[in-house]
Amino acid sequence: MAYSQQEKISGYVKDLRTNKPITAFEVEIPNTINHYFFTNVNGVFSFPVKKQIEQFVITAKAYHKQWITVKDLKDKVVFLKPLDKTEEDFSLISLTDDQLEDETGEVSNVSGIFSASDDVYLNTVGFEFQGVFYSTRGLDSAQKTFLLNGVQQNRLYDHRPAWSNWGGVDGIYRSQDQTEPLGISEKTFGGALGVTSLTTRASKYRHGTRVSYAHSNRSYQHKTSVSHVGSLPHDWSYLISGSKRWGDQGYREGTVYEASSMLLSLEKYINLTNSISVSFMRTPSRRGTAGAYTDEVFRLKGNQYNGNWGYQNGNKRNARIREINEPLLLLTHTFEAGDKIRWENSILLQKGRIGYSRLDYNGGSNPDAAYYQNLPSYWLSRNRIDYENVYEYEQEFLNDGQLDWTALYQANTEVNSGNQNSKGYTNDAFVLYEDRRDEDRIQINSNLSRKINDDWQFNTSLEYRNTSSNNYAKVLDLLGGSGYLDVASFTGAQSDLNHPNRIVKEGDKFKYNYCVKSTNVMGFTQTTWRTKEIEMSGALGFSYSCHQREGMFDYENHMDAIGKSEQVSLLAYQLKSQVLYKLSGRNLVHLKAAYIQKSPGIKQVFPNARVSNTTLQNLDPENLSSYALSYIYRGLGYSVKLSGYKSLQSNVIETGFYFAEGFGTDADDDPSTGDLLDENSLFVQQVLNNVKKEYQGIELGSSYDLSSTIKLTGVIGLGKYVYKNHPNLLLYVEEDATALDLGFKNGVKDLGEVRIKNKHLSTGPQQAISLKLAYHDPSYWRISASINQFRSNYIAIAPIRYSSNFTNEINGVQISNLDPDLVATFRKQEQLDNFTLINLSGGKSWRLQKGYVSVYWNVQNLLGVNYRTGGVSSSRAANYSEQLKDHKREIPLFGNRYFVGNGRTFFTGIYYSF
Amino acid sequence: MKKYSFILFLLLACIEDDNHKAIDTTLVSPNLSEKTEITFQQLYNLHGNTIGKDTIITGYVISSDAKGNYYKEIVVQNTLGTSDESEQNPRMGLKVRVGIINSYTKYILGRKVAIHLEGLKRTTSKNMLSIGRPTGTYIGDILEFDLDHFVLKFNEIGKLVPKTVALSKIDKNDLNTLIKVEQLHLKSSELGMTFSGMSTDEYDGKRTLEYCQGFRKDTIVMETSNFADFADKTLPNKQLNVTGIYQINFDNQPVLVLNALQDIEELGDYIDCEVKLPNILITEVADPENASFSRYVELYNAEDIELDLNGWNLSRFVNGGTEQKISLAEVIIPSKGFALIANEEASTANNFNFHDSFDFSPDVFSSWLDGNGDDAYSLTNEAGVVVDVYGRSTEDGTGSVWEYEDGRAYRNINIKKPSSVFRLEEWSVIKGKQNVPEDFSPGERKDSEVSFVSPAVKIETAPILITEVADPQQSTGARFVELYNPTASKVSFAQWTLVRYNYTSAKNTKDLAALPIFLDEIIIPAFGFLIVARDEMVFYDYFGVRAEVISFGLDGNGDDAYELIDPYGVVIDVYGDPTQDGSHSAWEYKDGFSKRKLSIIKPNKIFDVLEWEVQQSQIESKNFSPKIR
Repeated sequence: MAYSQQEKISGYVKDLRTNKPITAFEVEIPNTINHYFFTNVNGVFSFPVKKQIEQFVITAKAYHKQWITVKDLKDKVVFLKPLDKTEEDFSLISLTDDQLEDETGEVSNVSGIFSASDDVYLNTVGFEFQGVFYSTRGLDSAQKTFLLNGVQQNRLYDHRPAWSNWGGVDGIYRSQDQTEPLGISEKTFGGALGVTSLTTRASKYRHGTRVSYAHSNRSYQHKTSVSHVGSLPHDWSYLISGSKRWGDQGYREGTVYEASSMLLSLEKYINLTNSISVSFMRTPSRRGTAGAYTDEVFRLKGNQYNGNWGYQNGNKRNARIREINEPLLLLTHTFEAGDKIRWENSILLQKGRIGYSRLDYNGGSNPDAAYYQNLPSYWLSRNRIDYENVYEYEQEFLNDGQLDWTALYQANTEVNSGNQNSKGYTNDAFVLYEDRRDEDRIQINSNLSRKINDDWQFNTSLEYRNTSSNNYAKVLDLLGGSGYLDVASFTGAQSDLNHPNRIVKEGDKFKYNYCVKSTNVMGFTQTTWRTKEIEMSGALGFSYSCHQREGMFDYENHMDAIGKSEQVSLLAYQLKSQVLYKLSGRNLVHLKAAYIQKSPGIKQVFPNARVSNTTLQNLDPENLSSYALSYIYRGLGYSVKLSGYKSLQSNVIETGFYFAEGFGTDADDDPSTGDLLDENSLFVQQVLNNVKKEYQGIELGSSYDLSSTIKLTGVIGLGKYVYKNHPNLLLYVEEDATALDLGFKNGVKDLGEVRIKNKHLSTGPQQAISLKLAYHDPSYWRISASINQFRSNYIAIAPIRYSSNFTNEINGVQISNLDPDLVATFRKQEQLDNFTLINLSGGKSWRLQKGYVSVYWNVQNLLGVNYRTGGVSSSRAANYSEQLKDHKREIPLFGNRYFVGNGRTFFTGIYYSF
Repeated sequence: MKKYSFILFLLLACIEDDNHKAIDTTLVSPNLSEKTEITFQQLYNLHGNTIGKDTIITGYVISSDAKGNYYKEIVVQNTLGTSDESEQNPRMGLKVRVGIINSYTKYILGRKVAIHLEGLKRTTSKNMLSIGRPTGTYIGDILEFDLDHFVLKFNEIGKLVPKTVALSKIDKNDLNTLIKVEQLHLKSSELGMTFSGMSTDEYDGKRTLEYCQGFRKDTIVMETSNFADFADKTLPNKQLNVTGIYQINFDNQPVLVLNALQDIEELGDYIDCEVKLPNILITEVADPENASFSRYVELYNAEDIELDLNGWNLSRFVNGGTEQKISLAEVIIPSKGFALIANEEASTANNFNFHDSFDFSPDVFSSWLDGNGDDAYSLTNEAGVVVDVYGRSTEDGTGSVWEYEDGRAYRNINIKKPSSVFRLEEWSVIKGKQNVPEDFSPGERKDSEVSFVSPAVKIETAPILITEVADPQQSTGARFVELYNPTASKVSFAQWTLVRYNYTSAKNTKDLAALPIFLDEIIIPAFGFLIVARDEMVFYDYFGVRAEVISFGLDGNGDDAYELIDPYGVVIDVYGDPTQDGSHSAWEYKDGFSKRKLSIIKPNKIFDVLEWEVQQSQIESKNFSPKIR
């Protein structure tokens, strides 16, 4: 059945959520050139039909495309579903949390943020590539700039975004303005991965109330949230948002999670052009972390194993808790005159703390259940193997293998109970403490956008940042003891010569104590020129930083531990340009280029900041040149975007801490004595200096509408990220006699170049392919399935293996009996297995009498595939002889350590807005 | 607001991680009523090394690895105190092999423990009681997972009292027990060293603790692991009381092992170890003509206190050869009293033994006390140092000036000090025709026993001079001493002695420093010379003349004195001061020579430097003048 010629089709278009008319929309009739635009306060449409049609499409900005079957158009009202990424927003917080932190608890990967992007490729990266540590273009989170009301949220400490400050704030992403990699932002120059600009201004949020609940088994189990946006007379707007996420453990055992988020914002329009906004944000969180382990450990205990926790009085307690509480206050003045001029001025004040707990044991044995001496491999490596021991240790690890809190309390009680005999020479064996960073931050930002005319726009900004951080270790829990001796665990060195042999109690600062004061000024200007055929822009940025460390403790093993360091001044500048050429409205070519300098962060300027004022010898900025060329086709039923990119990063500084053996000549451990420590072993801070890295690849994002309801999305990312030179390896150690014997001067030794050119970067899978089929039912439910394959993933190399120290004796002569084949084996970079994950997701929305309900669910890794997202080679063996010993063992003691991916996980949520 | 209340409830939800309560670590002592307790001694005496069902022992932990000086072992002692519980349960210690490091965090010093012996194995090698997990013929560590089964902890921590004991009194019953030794110090040559961890210390540092007071010097090794926290600490330069566990180490040495540096108590300034040799001397050697079974040697204690001769020996040298050692371990010699060592033969009708001859028993019987007048005797102390001698141990006494066959020799009554060099002048030798009991005086020194020279012995003396002592800088092998005969007759040097006095830190008395060189029966003509040199060929090559007597002992580097002693033991001539080291003295002739002035033609028992021309640092051989005045 069909309508005859000359008939009219008419109806109303409304917002599914708010039930309000949509005032501007268009109607397209497939396979015809007929295209109708409607602007109507009541959302009414009416158009003639010249020939028989069965379906047509209604589209509107910020709404999902809605297919209408003519015969179903009975009540003449069509609801369009808002395209506000509500579901994505919902899962975004969950997904991104999962892979926010690397092993040190630092924010390392924010690819999830791209799930809110319109770009097919980036959206897939953000949505389907979660939890596998896939990095867009191989770059890390320091290359993604975050703004709150224009104020920069990346830290001076390491340039990474302070994600936890706003990450859990419900609804904040609905306000976000995101650019693609190398894209242009109106407010700041930004990093190579672009800018995400968020706002807290209440007037920018949709009025209404929203409550939600979500359940998951990823990083937390429960999430509740409530938010309300409203307005008051006299041009006041307000925003109240609160949420809480919690769970006893995520996919990894014992990873307790507790996070609250609160945003209170009040805005007053003084007149039509000026508004003042005050926002307060508080997002305290506590998370238990999980460790990276060797193959042996995962083989025995499975991928969910985490040795950081143990039972205390029947409850799980994790010793590695990361606790963040950094409330901030943001005052913003905005001047807006139509779209001609926008001027935003903000002051941000923050006083916060970050703590990461751990156990210290200068009077006891390493309490880690997965410590190498507790594993079967250790007992297999003895000179005389006692198989009973091997078996017993394996059984113990299989049956328990967790931290034994009871033993820690008992040990502390025991050592405190025998003082009548010990003449006061024993103190607590164990203590729980946290590494603390208390940071105060003041930032002032002013940014201006000026539209000179319809084609020409001008942006500029200036920002002042001042941060002051106190860094120290703080006793959290004496674990039943009476006092802990403040000396270094292995060396017995005094933490503070001014207070030798100090006994510390709960709340005391110990181990190290220093502050860093930093000032930064940065600015940028940008101009954009747009015509019908071509868009061009150019930007220029600069950044000036000044850092100074001051030590409070006079650490015994460093000459310059106490007092103020020299003032370190750093200057960096940036250039960026892009051209978009529109061959037609559907065919575009986009060329982007940038040169971005980045000064070393505080973490790099002071490589041994805990105990030394030493600054890095090479303080030149890191340089990144990046180019990308894209071809874009936007069809009605299909679209394609193909990009090629190349980035060259130079003068990169990489740092790391580890314990290594084999710096001397006769590293002759006697494993039968049970102790592998000897004079040739050192705890070192590694600095890889002047590193060059190359990133190149292609990205393809395409989508095709198989039918009105079924859409196929295909994404391919093929990258190759490698080291491009033989950088220098510097080691920083304690200034003691051992170090002096091993050729360290003032605690530093330059090991010369490490031959790592063309070794792969460990940035997660460098190649990924995704195919997704999505079904969107016109009655507002949907389901989609994707299959995603990840390839070309390499573990991090141990640079010391590529140094001459690895093959030579301390006197520079090559180690005798060196087998070149084995050296090659030891220097071969491990490539992780490729893996394929299947994800499912779906949802449904309902329009109620009052309000709107939506449910959403997804399942990641449906088949429960075990996979590894990354790993690190052990740097424990600093030379060939040591590595050979480990190589000869049945199971290596110091094998590669891996990060494991989640098994099958789900996330489901429901929300109600009114 | 009602509809929000469920949301508020959710926002307040809690997780189990919050507020961990401290773990209750109260210890409950084990109930051992079903078990059988045995003593350490019973465990030690056990036949076989494995132990029966439900058997336990209890004791107190006395070792601590808090400072890294013990490794995977604890030492348990059966008593807290210093004395034995009973005869069946003497104070004893036991080493337990535990498979954990930092065991002090589980078994603190003084913790009372019960060890469940069933399933464990015991060893007693080196008399040390040890227990562990059976592994073949050895014992191994009790694995950490099994410790709570085998080592049960009581809720009791005792106060440990170390047993104060003298080094000389430590015995095997003290093994693996906590002892305290007072008034020790480190051997002076080790001062400045660290406890361990020096390049010469393979696994452990072995340092010597010395005890010396009066006439004794005892030592014990203090053994410290290279992994001990105090390994790199410098040894204290003080007098010390040291508390530690007494053990036998891997090298079978008795050692003292500390728990911590605090186990050393500093008392005050280092008192250098000057051990005086007690004046114990041989006062009579006897070979009665009518009773060879009564042969004896008499020792005399000239000190004001009685002395324990534990560790001392009397040696007989048979005709200058075989040494026969007679232990004096059981002898305590009273002040101003005597000890008698006699032959052990039973009396026969015409050959009485000592007891029957003199009607009292000697202190020591020995079949080796059988010298027939031509055998020398020497008395050595616990350090093996020769204290006193009779005769010359390296020569057959037959026909010598000290032969006393069928007679006796007594020490002249005025002699109150021993001498490691035989001095005939201190003795009176009566050869032949001496009969028991009337001709002997065992157990007393008679006033009449003054210097007596037997007329039967023909001996020769002469006013021989020392005329040159030399230490050529270019050739230490060419060192020599020149003797000169100023008389108009030829002189035999038979039984003359040239004694060199070489003082070192170990040889700091005249007796210890003495190095006698026995001169041969060389006859030199009137106004002739005798050269005593170190090396025959080197001397000849350097000076072109021959030396008459060669001795390695002739090695004075300029600060050593010489005495020339005639066959009667009388000092005839002297160079330098024999009672002290000559370094930086007026008579030192280092790298040079000292020549008797030509005007001096008589020997002088009292050294006078004015009689000499002393020259140091002489390079050319022509500056020396052997065999020329």
